[in-house]
Amino acid sequence: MTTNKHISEEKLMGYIYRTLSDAERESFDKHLSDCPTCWARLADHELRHRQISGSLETAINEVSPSRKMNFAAIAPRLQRRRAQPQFWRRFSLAAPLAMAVGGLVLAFFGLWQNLGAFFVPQPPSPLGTLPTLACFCFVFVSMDQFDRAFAMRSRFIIMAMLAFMLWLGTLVIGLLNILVIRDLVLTACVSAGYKPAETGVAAILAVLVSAVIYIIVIIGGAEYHYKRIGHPSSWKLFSWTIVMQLFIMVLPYFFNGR
Amino acid sequence: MPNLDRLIERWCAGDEKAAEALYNLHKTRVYRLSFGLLGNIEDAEEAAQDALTYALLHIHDFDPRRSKFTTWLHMITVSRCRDLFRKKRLPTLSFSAWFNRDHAPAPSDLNPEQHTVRSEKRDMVWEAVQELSPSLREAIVLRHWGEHTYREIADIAGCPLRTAQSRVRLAYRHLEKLLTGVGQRQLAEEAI
Ligand SMILES: [Zn+2]
Repeated sequence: MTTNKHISEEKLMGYIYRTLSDAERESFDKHLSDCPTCWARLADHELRHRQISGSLETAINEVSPSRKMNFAAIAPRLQRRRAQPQFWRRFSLAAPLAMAVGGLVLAFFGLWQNLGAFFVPQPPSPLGTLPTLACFCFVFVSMDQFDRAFAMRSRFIIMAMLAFMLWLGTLVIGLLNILVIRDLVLTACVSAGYKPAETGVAAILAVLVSAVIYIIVIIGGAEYHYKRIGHPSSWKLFSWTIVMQLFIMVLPYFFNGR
Repeated sequence: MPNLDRLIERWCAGDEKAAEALYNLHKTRVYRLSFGLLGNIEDAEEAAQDALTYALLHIHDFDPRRSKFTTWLHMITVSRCRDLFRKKRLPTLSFSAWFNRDHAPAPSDLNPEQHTVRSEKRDMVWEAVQELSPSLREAIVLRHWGEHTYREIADIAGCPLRTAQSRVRLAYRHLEKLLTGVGQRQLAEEAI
């Protein structure tokens, strides 16, 4: 037995894992040479260390990539490589984020501008350029991500943020779409010579139907995108949703001209 | 074995044959590392393919003066695995299941293949590793399987050297704790 204190567990671990300083190691060896207790403790640890190490190694090394995992599977992604200068590559990370944020600001601003129209039906006038511009921003983001998803996906956190912002965007633009559809139906009824009461019913029906579609698209879309964050299919659905919304958004421009 | 530096040079110049050679040279190790971190065959393959693609696409960013190629590649792999892990850990959210929860199918969370693939003995250690937190699992896999130095582990995991060292020790302590009690006797028998 020795006179000094036994070696701490922490030191013992450090000895096994070779993280001790030379001085610590020396004093360790010294203590070890005349303390059978610590010698046994060390042997015990070393044994378990070897077992854990060996088990882990075999558990991992007995798996091998399947035949599906081959170079041909990633070759098309490599070919999408564009010779981008360093500057553009850094910038291209910030661009979709900036576009998404910008689109959201435009969309919310457009919503705020048109708040009055929710309560007072109007002849189908374009809802201003802001929501349309917002749609263009969102289309850029979703198509850019769709394109990227084949070569190299962005970081998960960035994709999740982008997806959330796009979803929020479709939510806002969708509300404005309902507005546009209601006013279009109203005008159509008026010019077809319906009575005010009939026109009112038609407008309410139009709002109801588009509201149901809206809820299905938004809620269903939320689930779809949530399960496929960053997948090409998710960006594709975003692109389609936004293009459709954009289409509804610009409808009044055509009818206005008549 | 083809010269690694030469292959990297050739791929930088646009020779796709060199990219294929680099890929074939490293795919098994990248796959195994992903498997070690994710514990699941399908996820491991997805992460490994992503990591290899990323590495090949960004080969110009690799600086041989700063790190070894494998260290750089493992750094990318770890980061891809973290992303995938984060994605997996999102709470499951299903509106459709919520609407018709009466006839929602029971989740089949365990893949039978995953059970038969490994023999039972090392399952004990393996399952204990799966219970570690991601950062501890990274540390112990990189140390024991990858045989990386602490400096390399620190670079790969993006943490200070001291943290890398203490993570490895901490992971070992956890494994030890998990294994004693349940399997100490078995481990002892195995050792004889
Ligand atoms: Zn002692």
